[in-house]
Amino acid sequence: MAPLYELSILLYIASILLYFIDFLQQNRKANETAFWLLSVVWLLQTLVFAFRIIETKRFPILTMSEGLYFYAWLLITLSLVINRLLRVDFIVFFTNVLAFFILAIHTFVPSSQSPAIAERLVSELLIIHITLALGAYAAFSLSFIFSVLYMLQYSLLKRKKWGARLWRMADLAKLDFLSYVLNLLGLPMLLLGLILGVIWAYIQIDHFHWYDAKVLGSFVVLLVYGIYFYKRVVRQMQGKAIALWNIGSFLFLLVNFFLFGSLSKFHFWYA
Amino acid sequence: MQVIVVGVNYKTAPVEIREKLAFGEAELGEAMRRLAKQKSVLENVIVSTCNRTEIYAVVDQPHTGRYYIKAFLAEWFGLEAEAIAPYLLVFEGEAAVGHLFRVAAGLDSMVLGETQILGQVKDSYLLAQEIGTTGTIFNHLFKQAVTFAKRAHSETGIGAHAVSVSYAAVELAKKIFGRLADKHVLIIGAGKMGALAAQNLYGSGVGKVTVVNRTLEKAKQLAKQFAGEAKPLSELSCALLEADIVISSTGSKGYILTKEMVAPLEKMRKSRPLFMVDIAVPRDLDPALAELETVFLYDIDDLQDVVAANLAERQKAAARIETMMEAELVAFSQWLQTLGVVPVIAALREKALAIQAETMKSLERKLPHLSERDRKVLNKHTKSIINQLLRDPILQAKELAAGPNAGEALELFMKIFNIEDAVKAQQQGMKREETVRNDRQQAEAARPSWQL
Repeated sequence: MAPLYELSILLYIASILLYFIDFLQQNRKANETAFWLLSVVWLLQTLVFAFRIIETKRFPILTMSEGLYFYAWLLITLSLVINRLLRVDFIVFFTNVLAFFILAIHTFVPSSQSPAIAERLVSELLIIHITLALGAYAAFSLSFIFSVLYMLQYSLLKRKKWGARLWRMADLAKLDFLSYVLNLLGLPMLLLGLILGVIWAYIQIDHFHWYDAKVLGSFVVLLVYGIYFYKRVVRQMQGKAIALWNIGSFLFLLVNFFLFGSLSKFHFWYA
Repeated sequence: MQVIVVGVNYKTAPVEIREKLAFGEAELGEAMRRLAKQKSVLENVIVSTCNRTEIYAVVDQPHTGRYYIKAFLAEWFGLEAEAIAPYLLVFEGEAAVGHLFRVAAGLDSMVLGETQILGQVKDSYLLAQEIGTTGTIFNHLFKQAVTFAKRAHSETGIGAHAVSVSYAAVELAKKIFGRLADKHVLIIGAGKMGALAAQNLYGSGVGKVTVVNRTLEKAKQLAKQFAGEAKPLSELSCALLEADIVISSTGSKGYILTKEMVAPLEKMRKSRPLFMVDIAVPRDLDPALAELETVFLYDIDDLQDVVAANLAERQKAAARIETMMEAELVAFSQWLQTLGVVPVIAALREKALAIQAETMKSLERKLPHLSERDRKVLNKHTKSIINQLLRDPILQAKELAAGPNAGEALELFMKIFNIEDAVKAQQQGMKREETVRNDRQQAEAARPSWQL
């Protein structure tokens, strides 16, 4: 399995480099090759994931290392799907820079974190809680990328930087809409994930605290994205202000995932 | 046997000449049919558009082919050959093939990289193929040129973006709003420029047009053209609340809209983007408007900059296409050689011309009193006999070379005319030429390039 994983990382680096060349030089051939390399990477990573399921005899998302791997896999999957369905230039590149960053953290996080405790506490509720939370994170991540692209395109249009990059990037309306749709997908997933997580904690954990850093942080994430929808739907805000709010929301989500997770008293297997 | 191009285009002839040498769509087939009957012409395709009339032909000899195609053009259009000669472009061999690739890819067009010409080249070729004026060589060459042009367009995106100011405005609007179908356009000023801009946007499918003008009557007249609404200048602020796109082109000497006037409206517009184009000189819209978060303000210079930037991108793409084209030229030349018919035809012509030269010498010996003029007439007519006699065998040899059992068929052909040794000599000569050309190319490729 290790050589398979290493090969996928090497191909992943090659793919991102080719996407970077395309971003700099508008090279269609590099873009096409990068896409096919990424498809191979996705296939290899899916295989590695399937091997891990067989090896651990469970859905491997219970440790930080496993969760990050699943998170990166979800990002690659979504970026490939969006690229095929919507043909938005640069989305694959930016999403995979983020996915690669997450995969890099996965590589450096010890993989044998408290598996015994994790297995003792495992239940269907926990698996669904983590899967929904990571699914929501993946949707928010892509929404964040669309907002970043929105800001780039906004800046090019405002600063009158004419050229191939401006024409290749999607229009502001599309970027704004896709970012909204992905948040629309992510928010209910996060809400359901949190509800199931709380129920699981009440059943399994002896001393569940509402003021635990990760619990509080997750509810603040929910609130921050709730405000996004209030601004967007009720106050009908759009454009730069809402894109910036979305970028800020995602950065807070990252803080919650990495920092508050480590401060949590009962997400100990995930720390 | 060689590919040649003879014709006129916007680079070589003014419109007064081009319009005299343009084939109507209905007469194109007949013209190609008649050209096929001309001496020396073995295959032909005529491409005739508003910017070019070009005859692509496979001829047995370049100089005779050139002569008869010029004569055909003069005869068809009822003009003196000398009158059109200064405007004609002529390309032979590899240059002619390269010209076809360039034309099909839009590199020779007035608007660099435009794609319309590809359709016109393809249509002309299909018509020629239908009426039977193409053969093995053009069936291969035109298919290759059309495929290459399509690949060049898709790989470089050369024709993708606007190179006219009015279309640049529409394209910019699309980069902000995506689709324009539900967008509201506000035209400030009812002058010609405003009308033209409105026309372009209306043609792109905008939802609603409102015209604001100092004189309401003029606004009504213009709005009527787009089934729009007219408002007096005093209602400009109200109109701005609903608008998505603003085109301003009044004759006012001061600013019609300032930052201070639009800023309070931003909140009421709920941060909806406002795309503003100022095509008035002096400007109608205060440049400080661009400081507002939701306003995208552009003036006529900005639109021209968009066009210049897009043209620069097209130039870069054109350079890439030129590089891609070199491989295509080599591929075509190699394909032509694999046919094996080129040395056969060359050997046959050489033998025939040697016989003609011998005959002329014999005539001169037997008729020493012939004047210079008589000798020229005799020379011309005996050559004409040779050309006419060889026309059909050459045509047949060309088709035999592409058919099944080409090798055996060509061998039989060579035996009939007893030119086997001459063909071998021709092949060796061609190999030598190829080696020299390859060496030259390698030497050029080995030269250091400082371009990163």
